[in-house]
Amino acid sequence: MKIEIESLSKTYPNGHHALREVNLTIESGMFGLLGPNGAGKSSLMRILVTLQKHTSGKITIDGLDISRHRDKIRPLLGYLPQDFTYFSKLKTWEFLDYAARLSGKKRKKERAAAVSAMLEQVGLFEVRNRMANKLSGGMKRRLGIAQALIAEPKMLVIDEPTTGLDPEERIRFRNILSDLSQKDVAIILSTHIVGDISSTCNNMALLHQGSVAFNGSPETLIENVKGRVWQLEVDDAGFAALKEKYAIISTIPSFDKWEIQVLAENVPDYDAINIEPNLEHAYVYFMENNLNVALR
Amino acid sequence: MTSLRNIAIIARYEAKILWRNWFFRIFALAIIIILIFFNIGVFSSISNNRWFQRAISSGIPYANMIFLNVVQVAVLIFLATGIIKNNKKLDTNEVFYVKPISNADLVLGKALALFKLFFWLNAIILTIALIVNATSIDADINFKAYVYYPLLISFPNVVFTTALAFLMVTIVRNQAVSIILLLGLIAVILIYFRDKYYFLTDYIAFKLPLRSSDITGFSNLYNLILHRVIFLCLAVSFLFVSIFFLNRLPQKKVHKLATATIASIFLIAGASLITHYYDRHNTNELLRQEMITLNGEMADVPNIEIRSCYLDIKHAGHSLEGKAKLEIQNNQIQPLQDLFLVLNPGLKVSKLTLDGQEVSFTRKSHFILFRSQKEMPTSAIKRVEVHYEGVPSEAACYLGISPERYKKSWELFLYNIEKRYAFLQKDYVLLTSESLWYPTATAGYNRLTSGASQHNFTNFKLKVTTREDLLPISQGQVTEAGPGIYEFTPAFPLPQISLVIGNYDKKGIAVDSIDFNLFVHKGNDYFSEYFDQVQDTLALLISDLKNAYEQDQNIKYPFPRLQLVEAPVQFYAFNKTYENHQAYIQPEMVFLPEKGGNIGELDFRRQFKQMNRQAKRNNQLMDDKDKQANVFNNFVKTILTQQKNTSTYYWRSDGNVEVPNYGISPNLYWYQTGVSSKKWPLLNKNLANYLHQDNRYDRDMSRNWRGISLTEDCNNLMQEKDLEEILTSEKNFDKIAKVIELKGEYLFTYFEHLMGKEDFRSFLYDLVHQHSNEIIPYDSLRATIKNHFHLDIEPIVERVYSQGNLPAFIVSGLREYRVLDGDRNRYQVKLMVENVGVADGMIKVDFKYNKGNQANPPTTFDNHFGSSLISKGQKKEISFLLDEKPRRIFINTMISKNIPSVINLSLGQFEMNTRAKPSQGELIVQDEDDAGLKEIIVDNEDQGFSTFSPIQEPYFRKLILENRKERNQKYYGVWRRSATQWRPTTGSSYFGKYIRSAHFTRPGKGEKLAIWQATITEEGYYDVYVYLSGEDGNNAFSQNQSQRKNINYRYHVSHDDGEDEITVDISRAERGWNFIGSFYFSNGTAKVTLSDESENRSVFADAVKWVKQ
Repeated sequence: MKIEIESLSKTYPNGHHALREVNLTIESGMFGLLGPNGAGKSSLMRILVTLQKHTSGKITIDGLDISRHRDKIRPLLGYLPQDFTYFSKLKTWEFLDYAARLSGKKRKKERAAAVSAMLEQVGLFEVRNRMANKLSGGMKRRLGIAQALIAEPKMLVIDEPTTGLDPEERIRFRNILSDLSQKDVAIILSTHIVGDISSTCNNMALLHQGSVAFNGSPETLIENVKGRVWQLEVDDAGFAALKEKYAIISTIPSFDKWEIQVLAENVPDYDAINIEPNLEHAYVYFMENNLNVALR
Repeated sequence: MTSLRNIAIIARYEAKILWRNWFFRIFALAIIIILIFFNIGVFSSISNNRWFQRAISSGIPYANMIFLNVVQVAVLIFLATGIIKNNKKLDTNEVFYVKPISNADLVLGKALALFKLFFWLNAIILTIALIVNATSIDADINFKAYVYYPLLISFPNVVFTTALAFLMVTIVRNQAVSIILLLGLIAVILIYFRDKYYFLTDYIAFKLPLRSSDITGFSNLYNLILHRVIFLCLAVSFLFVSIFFLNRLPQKKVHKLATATIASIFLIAGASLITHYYDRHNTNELLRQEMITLNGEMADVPNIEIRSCYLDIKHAGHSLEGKAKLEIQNNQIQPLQDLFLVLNPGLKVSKLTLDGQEVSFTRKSHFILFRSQKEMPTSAIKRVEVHYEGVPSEAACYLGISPERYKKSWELFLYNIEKRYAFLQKDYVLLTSESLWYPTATAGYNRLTSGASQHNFTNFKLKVTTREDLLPISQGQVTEAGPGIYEFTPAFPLPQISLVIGNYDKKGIAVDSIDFNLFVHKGNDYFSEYFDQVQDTLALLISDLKNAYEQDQNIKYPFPRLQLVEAPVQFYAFNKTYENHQAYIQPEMVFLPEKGGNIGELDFRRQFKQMNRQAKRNNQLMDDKDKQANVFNNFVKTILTQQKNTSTYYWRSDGNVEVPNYGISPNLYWYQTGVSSKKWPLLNKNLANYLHQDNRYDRDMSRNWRGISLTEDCNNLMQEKDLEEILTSEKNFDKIAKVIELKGEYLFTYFEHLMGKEDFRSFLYDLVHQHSNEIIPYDSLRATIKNHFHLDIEPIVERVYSQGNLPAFIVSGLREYRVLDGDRNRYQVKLMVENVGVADGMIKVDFKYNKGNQANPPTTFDNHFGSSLISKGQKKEISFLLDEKPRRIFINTMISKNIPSVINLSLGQFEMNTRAKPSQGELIVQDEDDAGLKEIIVDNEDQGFSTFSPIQEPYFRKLILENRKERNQKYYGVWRRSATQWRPTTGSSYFGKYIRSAHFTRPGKGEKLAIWQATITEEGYYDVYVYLSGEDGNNAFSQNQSQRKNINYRYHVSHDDGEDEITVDISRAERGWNFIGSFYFSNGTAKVTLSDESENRSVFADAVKWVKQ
C-alpha cells in the first residue's frame, strides 16, 4: 500500500486555505498526523477518504487517482471519524453486520464468523446483542474501529482515536492498531495527543497552517531536541521569573516547589538536569524553533 | 453503477431501524386498531350498517385503502424526511459515505426501506379487511380487488410521497421546514384542489373516482392507470434528483451524468403523460363546446321529423355497428331541401341513402347534413337509411349541464364514483337517448336556445345482434330471431328508446296483462332470499300496488310492461332544466343502481331489522310473509310509485337537486304525451309536475343556517332577473329548479282558481287520455281550454312566466274559534291579507292536523284547501270553516316578496264563540280609518330600530360564521349565533309586514343593546308593549309548566320621569304583544332598549308598540 500526495491544496469556498502544496508519501504501517487545531489534519483526512474534493494537486492510492477512481478506492478504505458516537437503533452485531455487508462481505457464514471475530477482537462480544446506542463511550469507540476494520481495509484513517477514552481503553486501542500495523495496511492516525504517535508510529508528518512542516520518523524529530530539555525545581517566586525566560513544557507541583521541564540550549542560572527528550518535547521545540509558534 | 444487492442491504437495515422507531410503531398500532373497529363497524355482520357500503364486492378493500392512505401520507412525510436528512452528527453518515456504495444505492435503499415498511402495514390492513369481508354473511369477496386497489391507491402514493419528501429535504435542507411545507401541500390538495384539473393534483387518490362495478369493472381503467403512472414517473424523477443533489461525492463522475439523465427522462415522461392525460379530458370538453355552439347555430333551422325508426344494431365488442331506416316527414309549413340528422359524434357514418339513392353528406360533429335532390313539400315523407359504426362519445351527453355540475365529483361514503352516462363494452352496453346512439332530427342544448324540450313520438323497432351469452333489454315486445339476435317492437310510438345488453338474469311476472320484469346481473341477486315467502302472493301484491297507484294518479299505467334493470354503479343521470325526470326512468323501464345502491328501501337486511323492531315496539305479531310483503310494498311505494309520505331535509341552498329519483311517473305523462311550445318551454315540465300526485316534499331547513329559505332566495332572484336569464345564467341549479317549481305552482294554482280545481284536473286527465302517444301543440291546448272553460290562458301564462314584479302580502288579524253551524261544532279560521306589492298575486292556504293517537302523531299536509287572487293594493278577509280542528295554518305566498314565503302559524285552542256566525269565502275589505286608535309600532325592520354591538367579530370567527359565498347576506340563521353582534333573522312568528324578522344575538353581560325609537307627537300616557314571538331559543313557550325556568329579558324604557328597567319573564309571556307598563311621554323621541343580558340561549329583539291611553 502506497499513498502519494503531490502538491495537494484545498481552498474552501469562503477563501480559507486549509491545505497548501502538501507533499507526502505514506506507506504501510502507522503514520501519524500531528498538528495544532486548524492545521489542516481533518481536511487532509477527509480528502483521503473521498468525503471531500481537493482543489489542486494529486493523490494516488496504490497508483489509483483518488478523484477518478472512488469506486475502486472506497473498498480499500476504513474510516473512523472523530465524533462517531451517534448510532441508530441497531444491535451491536447488527451494526457491524450492516457495515460488513456494505463492504462487500457476501457469504453469510463467512460474514458471521468475521463479525464474531471482530467483536471478540474489540472486546464487544459480550454486548453483541445490546443496542449500539446504549453502549458506553469507550464501547462505542471500539465499535467504531470495528466497523472500520471489518472491511479489511488497506488504508485506515482514524481521526483523534483516543480522545475521551480512559487509559485502559486507550491502551487496548493502541494494541489493536499495532496488531494491524504488522499487515500491509497503511494506518493514518490524526491526533494532537503526541503520545499516541510516539508509541506506535514509525512515520509521521507535522502539519502547520496547511503545510507539511515536518515529515519523517518520530526519532528524527526527537533527535533535534536532544540535550535541550532540562528539568529543575523552583519555588513560586522562581517560577514566575523562569516563565519569563524559558519555554516551559511541563510543570508538576510538589510539596512547596514546582518540578519544571524547560526547553533551552542551556539553563545557566539554575540547578538543572539534562533529560532524555520525548516526542512531545520534540514537537514543542519544533513548533518554537522552526515555526516560531510561541508556546509560552 | 447501482447494485441491487447494496440497495437491498440498505433497505433491510434501514427498514429495521424505522421499524424500531416508536413514532412508527405507535402510528401503525393506532391505525390498525382504528381500522379493525372501522371494518367491524362498517362492514361486518355484527353492526347495523348500510348495505351499499359492502354491496359491491370491491368496496371493502377500496374503503380501507382510502382510509389508510390519507393517514399514511402524514406519517410517511415524517419518516421520509427523517431518513434522508443530513444528520446533525455528520460523522454517522460519513462512516457510510466512505463505504463502496453508490449514491443511488444509498437513496434508493432508504426509499425501499420505507416502501417495505408500508407494504407490510398495507398488507396487515388488507388482511383485517379480508377477514371481516370473509366473515360477513352477505358481502362477496373480490380477491382481485385486494391486489388492484393497493396497486392503484397506496403504492403510487407511498412512492410519490417518499420521493417528494426526499426532494423537499434535499432542496430545503431542513427537516422541520420540509414537513411543514409537505403537510401544507397535502392540506391544499385535500381541501382546495380536490377534483380540480381532472384530479391531476390528487396524487393521494383521495378523490380520484376509483369505484369499480361488479358489472362493468372500472370505468376508464386506462385513465386511472395513466393517472397513477404519472406519479410513479415523477417519483422516480424526484428520487434521482435527490440522488443528484446528495451531499456525497459520487463513486464515479459518470454516475452524476447518469443520475441527471434518468431524472430528466422520467421528468419528461411524467410531464408528457400529464399532457396526454389532460388532453384526453380536454378533448372531451372541446367536443362539448363545439356541440353546444353547433346546436346554437342549428336550433332555428327547420328540419324534418322522424315518424318511424327501424334500428339494426350489432354489438361488436367495444364498438357498435348500426343501420337505421328512418321515415322522415316535413311537418314544417315551408318546403325543405337541406336536411339534417343528429348522431353521436363518436359514431362514424359510412353511408346515407335517401329514398334508396345514396346521397353525399357532411358531418359536423354530431350533425349529419345532407340535401334532398328535390324540395320536400309540407307533409311529404321520405325514407332515409344511415349506416354507422363506432363508439359513442360520452362527452356528448348532458350538454345542458353547467361545467361545475358536470365536473363535480360524485362521492358516496368513502367511495368516489366516476359519473357515467353510457356504456359500450365487450360484455356490457347501456345506451339512453342522451347518448344519441341512434339518429334523431332535433338539435340539442344551447344556452341561448331554450326550446330544447321538444320531443316527438316515433315508431321504433329495434333489432339487436350480440354475443349469444348476453341478454339485450329494450322497449317493446321481444322476440328471439336467432342465437344472439333479438327484435324489440314497442306497442306504440315513443319519444325515445334505450338499449341495455348484459349478462342478465330475468325474473318476470305477468299481472293484469302487464309484464313486470326484473333484470339482475348474474351473481348480483342479493334479495331473493329475503322474499322466499311471498313468491306465490307476489302477483296479488303487485296488482294491489298498481291499482292503488293508478287510482291515486288518475291515469292508467299505459305500457304493457314495466322493467326494472340493474345498472352499473357508475351510471349517473342529471336533472335537466326542461325535463322533470332523470334518465334513470326510460319508457316502461327503470334503471336501479347496482345491488340497490344506497336506496334504503333496497337495503333489505336493515329493512327487516327495522320491521322487527317496530313490530316489537307496537306489540304486533307479524309472520315472515307479512314482513316480506311490507318490505316489498315499502320499496314500491316509496321509490317507484312515491305514494308514501317522505320528506327530504335540506340545509343549504344546494344539494337536493342531484338526488336520484326512481319514480315511474314519467311513464304516465311524459312518455305518453306532452305539450309542445317553443314560446313556453317550461309549460310541459310544470304540467307534468302538476299531474303527478307526489306525496314527497322537501323540508327546507336552510332558514336556520342562512336566515332565509331557498324559495325566498329565488323570489329575490326573480325580482332581479327575468326567467330567461335565470334559466341560462344562474349557476346554482337548485335555484333554477326551485324557480321553475314556483312558476309552475303559481301557474297551476292560478288555473285552478279560475277554472275550478276538480274541473281543471279532470279536463287534463281526459286530455292526456285523448292524446296518447302524440304531442299536443300548445295552440291546440289553448284552443281546447278556451272552448271548454271560455278562458284564454295565454295572458295568464304570459304573466306568470314573464312577470318580474312581485306582490307582497301582509297577513294579519288571524282569529280562530269554534262556531255552531246548525247543530255541528265547526272550526272557524279568519285572516286578513293585504297585497302591498307592485303586482297582483296569489296565496294558497293549507292546514295541518294532528292525526292518530300515538305519542308522536304523524301530521300530513292536506290537499290544497283554498287559494285567493289578490290584486295589488287589495285587502281581503278570508274565512275558512273546517270540520276538524287544525293545528297549524300555512299561508303560502308562492312568488312574492314575503319572507318567509310560507307563513306557518300555530293555531290556538279554538274557544267557542257563540255570537259568531259561521262564514266561508273571501271578502274585500276597505281600509278602516283607525282614527280612534293611536298606536306607534317600531319593528326591527323600521328606521327607528337600531342595534349597538360594541365588539367586532373576531376575523377568524367571522370567516367561519359567514360563509364566503354568502358574505353579502342580509339575514342570518338562528343556528349560527353570533357572540358579538345583533343579527337579523326571519321566521313566521316574528312581527313584521311582509318581512317577518327579528334581530337576535347570544346573551351577554348587557353591553349589546337593541334600541327602538319612536317620535311622539301627542304627549300623554302610553301603554308600552313588546312583541315576543315564542321562538326564543329554548322554546320556552312549549315547555311544561313545571319545568319552566324564569327566563328574563331586560327592557329599559326612557320616559318623562326617567328610565325604568322592566324585566319580562318570557317563559310566562304570551306570544305576540306583551304589556310592559304605562309611562308618560312628552313630544319628542321615546326610547325602549333591550339588553343582551338573559338566561336564554339567544336574545331576540322584534318590535315595540306605544299605544296612547
